[in-house]
Amino acid sequence: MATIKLENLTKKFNKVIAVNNVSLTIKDGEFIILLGPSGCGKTTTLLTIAGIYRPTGGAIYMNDTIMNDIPPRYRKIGMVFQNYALYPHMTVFENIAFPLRTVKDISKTDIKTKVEELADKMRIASLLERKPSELSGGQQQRVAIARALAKEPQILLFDEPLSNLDAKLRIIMRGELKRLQETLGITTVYVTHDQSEAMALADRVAVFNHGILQQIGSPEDIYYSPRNIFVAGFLGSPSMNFLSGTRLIKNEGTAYIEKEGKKLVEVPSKNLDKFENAPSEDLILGFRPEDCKIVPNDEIGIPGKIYLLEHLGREVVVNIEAFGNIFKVIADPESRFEKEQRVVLKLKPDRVHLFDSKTEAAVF
Amino acid sequence: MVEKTKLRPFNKALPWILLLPLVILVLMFYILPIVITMPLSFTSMGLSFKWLFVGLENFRNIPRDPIIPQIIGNTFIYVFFTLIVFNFGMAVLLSLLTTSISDRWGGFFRTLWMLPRITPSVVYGLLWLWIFDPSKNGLLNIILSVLGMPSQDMFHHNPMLLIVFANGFVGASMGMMVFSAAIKAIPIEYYRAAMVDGAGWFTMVRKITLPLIRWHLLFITAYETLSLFTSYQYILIITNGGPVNRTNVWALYTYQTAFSDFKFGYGAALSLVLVVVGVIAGLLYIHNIHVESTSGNALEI
Amino acid sequence: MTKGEYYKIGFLQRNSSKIFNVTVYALLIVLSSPIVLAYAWLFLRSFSTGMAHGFIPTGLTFSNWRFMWEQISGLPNVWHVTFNTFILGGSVAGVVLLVSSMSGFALSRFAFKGQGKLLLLLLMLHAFPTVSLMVAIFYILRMTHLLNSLLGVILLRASMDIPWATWIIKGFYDGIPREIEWAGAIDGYSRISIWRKVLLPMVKPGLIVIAVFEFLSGWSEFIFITTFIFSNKWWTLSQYTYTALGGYRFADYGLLTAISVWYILPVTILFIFANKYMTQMSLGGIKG
Repeated sequence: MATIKLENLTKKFNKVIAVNNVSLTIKDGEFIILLGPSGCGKTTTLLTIAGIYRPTGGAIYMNDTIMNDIPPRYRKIGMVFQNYALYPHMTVFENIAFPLRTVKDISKTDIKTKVEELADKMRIASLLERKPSELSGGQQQRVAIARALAKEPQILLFDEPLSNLDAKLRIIMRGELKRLQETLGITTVYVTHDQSEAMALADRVAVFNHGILQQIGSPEDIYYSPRNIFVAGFLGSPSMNFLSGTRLIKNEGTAYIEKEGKKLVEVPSKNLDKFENAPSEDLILGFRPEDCKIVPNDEIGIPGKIYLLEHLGREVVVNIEAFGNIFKVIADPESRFEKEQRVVLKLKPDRVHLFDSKTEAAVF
Repeated sequence: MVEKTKLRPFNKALPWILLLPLVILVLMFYILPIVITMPLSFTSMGLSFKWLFVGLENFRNIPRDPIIPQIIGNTFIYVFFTLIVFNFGMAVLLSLLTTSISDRWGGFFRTLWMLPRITPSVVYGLLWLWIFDPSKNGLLNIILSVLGMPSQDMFHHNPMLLIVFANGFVGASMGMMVFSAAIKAIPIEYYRAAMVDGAGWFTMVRKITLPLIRWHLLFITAYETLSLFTSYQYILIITNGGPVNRTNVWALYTYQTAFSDFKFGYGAALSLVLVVVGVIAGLLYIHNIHVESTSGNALEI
Repeated sequence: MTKGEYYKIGFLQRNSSKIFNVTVYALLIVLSSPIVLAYAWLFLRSFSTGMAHGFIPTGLTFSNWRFMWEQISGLPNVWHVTFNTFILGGSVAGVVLLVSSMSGFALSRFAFKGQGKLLLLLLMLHAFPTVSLMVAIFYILRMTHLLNSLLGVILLRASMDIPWATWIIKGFYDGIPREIEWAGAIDGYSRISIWRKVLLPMVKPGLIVIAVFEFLSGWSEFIFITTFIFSNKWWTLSQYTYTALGGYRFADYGLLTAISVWYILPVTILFIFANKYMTQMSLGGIKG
């Protein structure tokens, strides 16, 4: 079908740089998600791929053809928008048929067959005579997808397609989308700010912030080996805990992280060689809420006291106050803790992250 | 695939191609006339349409023109009274009254007041000719006779009053619509709070409504002053400035000079005053209005 | 508070609001009465032989309407004049629709240099007193051979209204989500096709408003006709009525009212069928 390659892609609006020097390659049939907070450049990247915007610098290739100046209509793409962008003055049938009417030498019966086939696939066959305003959000969504698929595009683009749906419907549509993409095998670029959506859907996730591509990799990669503080903090809920002002103490083949003279966690020996050139002062320690244990007392660990307990049914989020920070830790709901109780946080040594506070890059 | 060279230049030119008719018409009927009025006012151009430059002659003639003092006085009276009584006063009153009753009936009365504005001016002129008809057939005199009072001949005794009324009944609707919309946009909570404090209708109008729509009041006052100063259509139809220039105003006099006496040069000089006022008002107007560009994320194809 | 006191206050409040309402309605009726009476008289008089006490029809007649089938001295054939008026109204509406829908699209949907300035210029022109330019316009029309021609008046009238119409229709374009246009581009259409097939149908309510107002604007045009048209071959109903007004003022109200009623027929239709529409749209609409 199609591959997409972005090469040093840059997009400026007047003086504002929306996308800054992004390079990335999308494989044929891949489901890739552009993830980031609002204003991070992910949507601009998507619209530039679509051809709505022209790149200010760099290049877009599709199947190794440069596409910078090719208008959207020649790009063989289909797109679904957050607000669905259905044509309000046309019926559902007309909406789905609209892209087909640009195809040369297509007969009316062919259009009808094609529209009905798509409507069947998206389970909206009974709605064909309605206007978009008479449809629910979920139904509009299906029409939008059917329209995007009408011309059998080589590339599918989604711009936050699920964020206008209610939470329950969002989960259902998420599954359907994944299934649809797997069956069709169309190269898909999907923009979202919802990290759980990204984790659930993507073959690979590209995390954006301030117009810069922070990291790209499989959901597991991004989650377990974040390349910097932003990526580490953006994924996961509750998000990763950070403790600044820590130091690394090396000692004859072993090493540990400490703050204010307190030994927090030992560094596994496999990570030791990564420190050759890394600073040892002024580091930021990061650990995920699920990667630690709460114990009554221990030599090594973060000492603190319980500040708040959030019972979520399946788990309990324990808020622990230590070094003037609040850390969130996921614990078994069976466990008995009490507010103000003094405890020690025991971190899993091989799940600990360490960041350089100046560059915010991960040391490991 | 399509070559890029074919697409790029078209994209840049497309908005201007779409704007071309607008630009041509604006140039032809606004910009060019403004530019031409200036040199024209230094000529003695008449029906021969010859550009005979006479220097400042026309401008020297304005203060020497025997009717000019009367014209200036009339213009002031016409603008001042129409504005105060109708275009502002009646507009405020109507907007307050029509927003104090149900939307349906308020809307009905507002529509009624829109009627003069959409009526062709010559027909509207006829209505006022009848209302102030000096014989006992006119509406005013019918009412006066019902009240046992003698008939009035407004056309000779007080023609300016007739002009103010005729213009006022058209002019009031503009302010009325703007103020009514502004009043309806005031959050109801303000009035609820005032009612809890025991305020009556007049207090609420004075303390809430009027202060909150003061910018609209100011805008309409400015806009209508300019508009009245430069309008003469209804005067032309109803009295044509008569009797003996008693209802003649600057804009109408300009018009008559050019199109009844065919003194185009002098007419241009007289109209230059209006042009200058118009340009200054326009600049003030846009200075106080912030226009946001809405095409920040336009398609770039 | 005792029950009695409560009742008393309630009664007073209810009554005072009733008095207030009656006062408001009474004031509105008195203030609006000249309008109501004048238009009522206009219609009644056109079908009456005369008016007793100036206001009570004395008998039904159609002789006031004789201008429709007879030659009235000093006036051209009314059907021809009405036809011209239709041409003027229709053409003004057509020109304004065409120009404003194009320029509104460009101003709303493209980013280009000088856009902000152009918008401000249009705003300024909307407030600009055209009448001050009459002398120069006369000269320009003469140079372009558009004097004594309906085309000249059509272009002139249209130009005066285009700044307003462009602003109105731009507002309608602005209300269309960007994504609709983007979807059109992805579905395979050029910008011009998107405009024609997607955007224009979506701004139809605005186009209708402009069409109605511009038809009326051309239909009612008086100053430009009386100044720039010399031959009664190109007269419209405004000049026709004005001339009748000159010849028969205070003398033959029957004829004058009948001509007027004929002339304001489209206004009446609009008033009856679209009055809600009209009050909404006139906001900021026509020059005061």
